[in-house]
Amino acid sequence: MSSKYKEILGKYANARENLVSAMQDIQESEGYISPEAVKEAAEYFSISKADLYSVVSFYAQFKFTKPGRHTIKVCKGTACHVRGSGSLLSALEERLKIKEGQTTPDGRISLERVACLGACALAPAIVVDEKVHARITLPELEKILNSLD
Amino acid sequence: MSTLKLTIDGVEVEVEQGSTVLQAARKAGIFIPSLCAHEELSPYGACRLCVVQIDGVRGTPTSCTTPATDGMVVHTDTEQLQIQRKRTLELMMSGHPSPCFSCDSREDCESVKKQPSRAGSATRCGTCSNRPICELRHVAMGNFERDIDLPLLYYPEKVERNDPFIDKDHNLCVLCGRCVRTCEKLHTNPAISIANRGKFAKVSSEFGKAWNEEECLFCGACVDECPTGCLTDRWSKWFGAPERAAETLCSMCPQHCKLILKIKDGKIIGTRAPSIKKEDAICAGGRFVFTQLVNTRTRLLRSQVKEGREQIPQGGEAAVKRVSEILENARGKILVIGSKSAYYETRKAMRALAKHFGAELVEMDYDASAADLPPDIVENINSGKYEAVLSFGNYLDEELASKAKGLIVADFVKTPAQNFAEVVLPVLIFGETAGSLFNAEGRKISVQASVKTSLEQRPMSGYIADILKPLDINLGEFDFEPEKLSSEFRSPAKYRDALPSYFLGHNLADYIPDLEKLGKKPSASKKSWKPAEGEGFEILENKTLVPNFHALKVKAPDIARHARAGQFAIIMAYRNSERSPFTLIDWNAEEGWVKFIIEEVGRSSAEIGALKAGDRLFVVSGPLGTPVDLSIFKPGQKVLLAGGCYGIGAIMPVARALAEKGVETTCVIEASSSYMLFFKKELKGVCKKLVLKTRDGTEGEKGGCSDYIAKEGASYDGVIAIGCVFMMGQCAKAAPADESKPALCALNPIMVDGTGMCGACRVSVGSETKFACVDGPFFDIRKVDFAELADRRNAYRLLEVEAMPRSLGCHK
Repeated sequence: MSSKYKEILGKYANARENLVSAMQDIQESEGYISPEAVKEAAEYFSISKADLYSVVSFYAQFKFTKPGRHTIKVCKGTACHVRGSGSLLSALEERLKIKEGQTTPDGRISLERVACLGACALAPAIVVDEKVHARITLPELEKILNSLD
Repeated sequence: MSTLKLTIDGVEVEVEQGSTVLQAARKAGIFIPSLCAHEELSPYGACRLCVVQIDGVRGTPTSCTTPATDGMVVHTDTEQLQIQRKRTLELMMSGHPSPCFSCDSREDCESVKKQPSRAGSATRCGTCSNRPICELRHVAMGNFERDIDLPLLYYPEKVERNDPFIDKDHNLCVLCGRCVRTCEKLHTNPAISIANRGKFAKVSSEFGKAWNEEECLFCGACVDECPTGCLTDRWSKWFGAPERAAETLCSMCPQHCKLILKIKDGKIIGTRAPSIKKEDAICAGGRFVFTQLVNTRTRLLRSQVKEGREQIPQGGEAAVKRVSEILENARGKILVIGSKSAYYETRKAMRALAKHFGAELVEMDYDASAADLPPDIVENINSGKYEAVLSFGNYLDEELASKAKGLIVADFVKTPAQNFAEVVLPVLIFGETAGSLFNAEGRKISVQASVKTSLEQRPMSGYIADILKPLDINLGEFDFEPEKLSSEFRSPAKYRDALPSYFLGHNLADYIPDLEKLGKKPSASKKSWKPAEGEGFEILENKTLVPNFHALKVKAPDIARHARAGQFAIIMAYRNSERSPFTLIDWNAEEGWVKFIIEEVGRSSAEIGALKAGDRLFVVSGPLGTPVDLSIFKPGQKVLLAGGCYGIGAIMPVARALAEKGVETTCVIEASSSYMLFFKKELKGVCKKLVLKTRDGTEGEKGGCSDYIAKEGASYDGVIAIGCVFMMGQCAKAAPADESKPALCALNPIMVDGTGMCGACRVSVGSETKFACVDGPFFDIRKVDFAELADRRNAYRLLEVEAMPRSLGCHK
């Protein structure tokens, strides 16, 4: 096993109930679940790759493509929706030439849609790299995009 | 083992401890519908069809996962259960292409179309290879009404053909998990599982990769356990349900696995492992290669004996006599090449033959090719040491064969090297003939002949017995100790790289193209059937309109210049293709192109459908046929045009021509379901009114064109119907009886030359015999004998199945 995953997996006993926690740690560390991670984790837990993939692909929290350097999450909760977050999302999709859930080919930005950020008073809200931006307008969105490297 | 008693629907049943309620019900002869339950697999509870009510138990547990207990009172058919099962089935059918399930004409249609058409994608039962053996269909049609209360969802992109041997159509999957559980039970490293969740859940390898990139051994057990036709054997699936099963042993490798042969019409149409047990697991060779190999199109059927410079078929007896003469004359200077993969009886007879004639016997190993012939033997053949060489299998390449004197080749397929032989004997191979082999434990196992021989084919041991018969030889003296399975032997049922590449000296990849996907290389000298550079007709565009239907635009200036509405052209994709007629849908004389609709129904249409823009068709010959007689309609008159499936495209030129003439047309078009309707916009542009009909009622009115003709036909000045034989038959019955008004159909029998020479396309119209190609394709629909037409179209059913493409190139 490569040292990359050895440390993370080593924290867990070889038991099926530890699988999700271990994979969460791997995602935390790498940002996504790579084919190599699936291979090594499957070996570690003595199950097939197909079985392991079956478990992790069940949960929406796991990502299987490498995220961009920046992540933009657009809230599509009820409050944000009525205050026009749909336009924000389509503006971003158009500008970045990707669909929600995808990453720009240059690996710069990942675009995500979230159900509710719990910041309804700030609608429409987006989260850029863990920072919440409140009551976003299209010109502000443009500014934020330009500020990202 | 102790037993317990329970009551199911008022019947008392005694079962063993540990039985499930479902098993108990089956024992009592009480039917509970189920799909995911399987005797050899652990209970799963996925399909939810086997729900029951149990006194004192809350809810409706699944009987397949509920252990029976003493005194239990079970109800299997209450109103609540019926409603619940119907809802479950609706959910399954909603994601399944099920128009045939809801079609009101299903029984009539299937009495005409006894086999499903061999389409690329299963868009309904009528184009699904699994129809004859489908468990979902059996459960659904046996227990539920036709109506489905949920929208029908079909996604063409769910069909996967990227793997060798196995087609995957996830539209058909009901997530019963039988394939996954089978894979997990058989293999230490199962290749598949169920990935994702909700409506995205599907049977998949990790990251949805092709299975040949993964651990998959292509044992095919998942295919055999699939109840719906989601997983199918790409080539052999079209043979339908086997008539009987027989046991045999595979001899492609020294393991000699037991196989169950599926037999129909005296042919081996498939194989499977004896059970879903690890010890019975077989490899891709036993499961897929075996059937394709015995059904190779170039099987030797007749013996050949050389007269002068030519080989002439003279019958088996003459061939054996000639072999005896050659061997007698060459006594002491003979080479006999055998194979360790032959049945014990054959190997014994070879020993006797060699002893009697003083021959040198070389037995080639499993998986050996001509390149493995020992160097000293090659040298001896080259130097002319032998006066006769008998080879059982393809162990002499062309060059060596040309140097061998008195060459006798016994083989199962034709090879170029056989051209140099004095005698060629057609032999039967594994599965076809009786004989014995030794299993991994060294135990002798005998198998029976499973199929009838074709023409002069015989087992090798039979030929030798005839040669030895007059010589009074006691075969008992030639018993020998068979080889033990080496401790280094790696079973292809466990290791994919151990899959054999050769059988009797033949490169398996030459006959089974899918083996390339498993890393096998075919011989270099493969003949290409593609049109040569600059030859044939260029395809300008190939657009898939709806699943299995392609709009093909072809550069053909001469046809475009002369084409008229109702005519057709004959297309051949490759040099060795069949000639098939296709209606001219559209054309442009100035730009020099014509358009066809290609519906995938078999090999030829699949070949054409798989071609892309820039590829060339070998033959496009037309325009052929008599154009539709437009003079019978006058401007201002009203004509009803009916098109079903392929006919939707075929009525297009007629509608256009009538519109140009000022005739007012109503077009009624039908398809099985909304996702199969096409040309709506195009037809609207040329007709006054467009009426849509679907067999499942998902768009327009439920039903077919004939309903509309029956209701409104009499108010029109004429009717023209084009579609499948069944649809036109229905329209014929509905057509207005008033013979002063024209009612026409366009017929589509099997055609060869399309110019009235061969007579293949003969049809009965009234009391007359007509040729559809020159007298038609348009005839009075009220006079056509549609039953005869349907029979004639089915005449080559078995050959059409055998001819289906084996490679990945087709059926995209």
